[in-house]
Amino acid sequence: MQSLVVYGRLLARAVVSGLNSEVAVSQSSQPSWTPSCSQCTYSRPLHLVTAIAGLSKSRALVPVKSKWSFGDDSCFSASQKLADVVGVADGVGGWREYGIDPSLFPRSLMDTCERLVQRGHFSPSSPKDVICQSYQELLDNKTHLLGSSTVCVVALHREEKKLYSANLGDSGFMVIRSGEVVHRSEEQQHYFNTPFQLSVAPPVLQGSVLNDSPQVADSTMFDVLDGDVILLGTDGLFDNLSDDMILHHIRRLKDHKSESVQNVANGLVKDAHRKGFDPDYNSPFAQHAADNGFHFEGGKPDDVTVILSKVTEGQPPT
Amino acid sequence: MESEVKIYQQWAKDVGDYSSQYGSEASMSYTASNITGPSSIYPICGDFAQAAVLRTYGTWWESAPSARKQIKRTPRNFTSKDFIELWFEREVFPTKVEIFETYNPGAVVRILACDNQSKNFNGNGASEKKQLNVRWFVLWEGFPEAVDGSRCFSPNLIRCPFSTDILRIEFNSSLCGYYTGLDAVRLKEQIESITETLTKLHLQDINGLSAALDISDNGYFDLLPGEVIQEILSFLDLPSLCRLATVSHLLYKHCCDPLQFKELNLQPYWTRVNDYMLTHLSCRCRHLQKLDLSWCGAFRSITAEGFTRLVLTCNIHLKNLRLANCSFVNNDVIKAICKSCPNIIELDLQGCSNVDNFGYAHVSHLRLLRSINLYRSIIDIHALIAIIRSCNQLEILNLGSCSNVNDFDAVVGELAAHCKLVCLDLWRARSLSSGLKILSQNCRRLEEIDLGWCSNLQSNSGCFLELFQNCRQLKKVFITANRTVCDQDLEALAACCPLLEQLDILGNSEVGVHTIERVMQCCPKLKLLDVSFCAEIGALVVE
Repeated sequence: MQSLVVYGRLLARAVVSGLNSEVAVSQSSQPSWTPSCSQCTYSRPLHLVTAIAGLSKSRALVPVKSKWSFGDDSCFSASQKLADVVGVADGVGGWREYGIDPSLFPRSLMDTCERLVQRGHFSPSSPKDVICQSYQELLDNKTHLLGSSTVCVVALHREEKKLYSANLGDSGFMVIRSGEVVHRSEEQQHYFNTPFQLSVAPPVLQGSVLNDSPQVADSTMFDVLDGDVILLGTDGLFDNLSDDMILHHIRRLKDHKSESVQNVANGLVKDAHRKGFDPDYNSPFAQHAADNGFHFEGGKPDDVTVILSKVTEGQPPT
Repeated sequence: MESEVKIYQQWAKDVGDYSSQYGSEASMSYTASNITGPSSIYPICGDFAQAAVLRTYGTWWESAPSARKQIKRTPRNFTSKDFIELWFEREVFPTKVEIFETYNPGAVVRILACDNQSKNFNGNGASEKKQLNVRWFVLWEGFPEAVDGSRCFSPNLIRCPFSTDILRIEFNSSLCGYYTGLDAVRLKEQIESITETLTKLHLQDINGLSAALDISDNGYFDLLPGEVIQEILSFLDLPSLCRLATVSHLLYKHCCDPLQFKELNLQPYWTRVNDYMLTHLSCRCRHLQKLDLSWCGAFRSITAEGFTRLVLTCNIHLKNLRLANCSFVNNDVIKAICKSCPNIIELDLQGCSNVDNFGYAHVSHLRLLRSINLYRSIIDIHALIAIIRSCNQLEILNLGSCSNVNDFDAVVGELAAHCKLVCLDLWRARSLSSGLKILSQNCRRLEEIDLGWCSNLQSNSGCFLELFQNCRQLKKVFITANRTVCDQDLEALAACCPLLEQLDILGNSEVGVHTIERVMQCCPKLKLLDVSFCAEIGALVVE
């Protein structure tokens, strides 16, 4: 019973943090907004109605360190004139053994991405550059920040109506149209459960720590339409929910309202988190493990972060 | 009755120009452009990458081996060392300027507003060469101070007689204990105040005063030998000298004597220097040896042609020429300088963004060059190597933030082969790696080396060990943010370089407290030791 209460508080915290921050920065989710079709023209640009939700793996009540951090996961959502940009990063937990907080690296990476977008150091058609530059900015910081992270950044070019993405590691995104997955990122792994990752290691560990160049990030481009749903998540989501389960959630999203998007995002996170702690559940992760000759049962307890965006016609409300 | 007072306020939109920044050119950490946009740090105090940070602080750079001698007649009340020029969206009559300082406040010494007509001519090719009337007005000036914490600095301004959308803020961080951090600048206008009568502007235009009146009585000065008058005049500052010339024929003759103009520092008067003034000065500049025009000529108040005329009158005597952040300096100007003044030994071209390789190619004709400052220039490797090969006398070289040089190993290799360097600044030379070894084997006279943010230098290649073992005269060593420097390197430094005065190992997590103690024991002259952001070391020690 107590765990349920704790659980509920965690979730509430996540929802509040997601909603607040969203209004503050991207301003694309004002509840009062409704599309006025009388002004619709064919060439109207698109924008994203975005909701963020997440839960930390830890069942104990941990204080939320900063906005949009869920355990070792971090994410951001930012807008500029031509583009809406969202991204997630998943810190590699192994750094805890060296006494390093694994959440700091992805947090800084995402904060820097957000600043780069807001300051205009960003071209909507090359999200890979924003990852490269963000990584370079981390190296240019006086603080020697150690850690590793996967990263996935997706940008909607409003005028071109194209979705540009860059993905490094096992976080990912999918585009859902009329209840079907029409486009998705490819997972990048060195071997099972060891994703590609950006890292900064102390000199003694250099060479023994995996460190992939931001240049190897997988880039894609995809034409999107009004009504498409973009789901960005860390492996905590995709390892615990199959495509069918995810699509089942997405089908409940009937309109463009930000509350609806937020509700579906919360539902996804809650479901993935619950299944992650279910020892009897045959999770996608357990299936992948079996395919690779490992024995693993049940869900995969992990931090879960979801950014759910609905592609919407017209200018975002200001 | 309460009158309606409207306040219009705006944040800085763009940085027009600046003298220096801590961050690298391609980055957005610690760069000048961070001062634009709304405040994002204030009221928090700390060393944040999101702030605009200047390249230097304190008096450490002036006490380093590469420090330059001050030019005679530099007025004491000109204390500015750095500036940032800010552009705003809308022209206003400034009634308030708020400067959000978030780390080591107190460096602001002057705030100036610009009345600039050149923006109306922008993009018009025909007016490119036309000299324009640019007015600068000092809104506030004061002395540097040292303040703790963070603050919003908003001094009382002198009422500005024109509307402006360009501000220059000048800094002197000599009293700051560490780098000063600037978050944002807000410009305010109280709408009501425009309608009031504008106060009349008194510009002390030194060129206007140089025309002598017809006064035949020379007072008692006729009794003095000329040499004594010359000696007395040498104590006057430049505006006084020009004003005195209007007193009598005798004084006019002495005040305009080229021997009074052996050294000329116009940087303190940069707001008022223009082509017209340079023309007036040029007839007195036959014996000019040192000239400082740094910061002068913004918005084409000096043209390339105007300056070239002055350069042509200077000749073999000119030895020191400082042109930091001079936008009128282009390839033709460099060509003219190198042709008519072949004996230049010191050349400062930092932040001259209108010179490219064709211009720098001429610099290699200055065979006697001993010191050249190319900080934040866009020189590339070919022009740089040409200069190094022909200027064998080079002793002091600043290549900080030369973002177009893509192979510093090759550059350093040439330096090792051709020059006996004493001071070398390679701040943010990212491509430097194996070259440092060759340099340290050949340039054993090195007293100062700045390798800050050269992130490709790996301690395990032995480059630092060899540097310290070969160059035993080292007084200043900056290895800022090199994460690989280890105890062994600093043990070698302690053992080999007893003359060490300044050491910066910021952001290093390998070096332990014991090694630092050893360095402090073995180097009795050590005055600056920066160990901030070092994981193994608790508190900052500055002795």
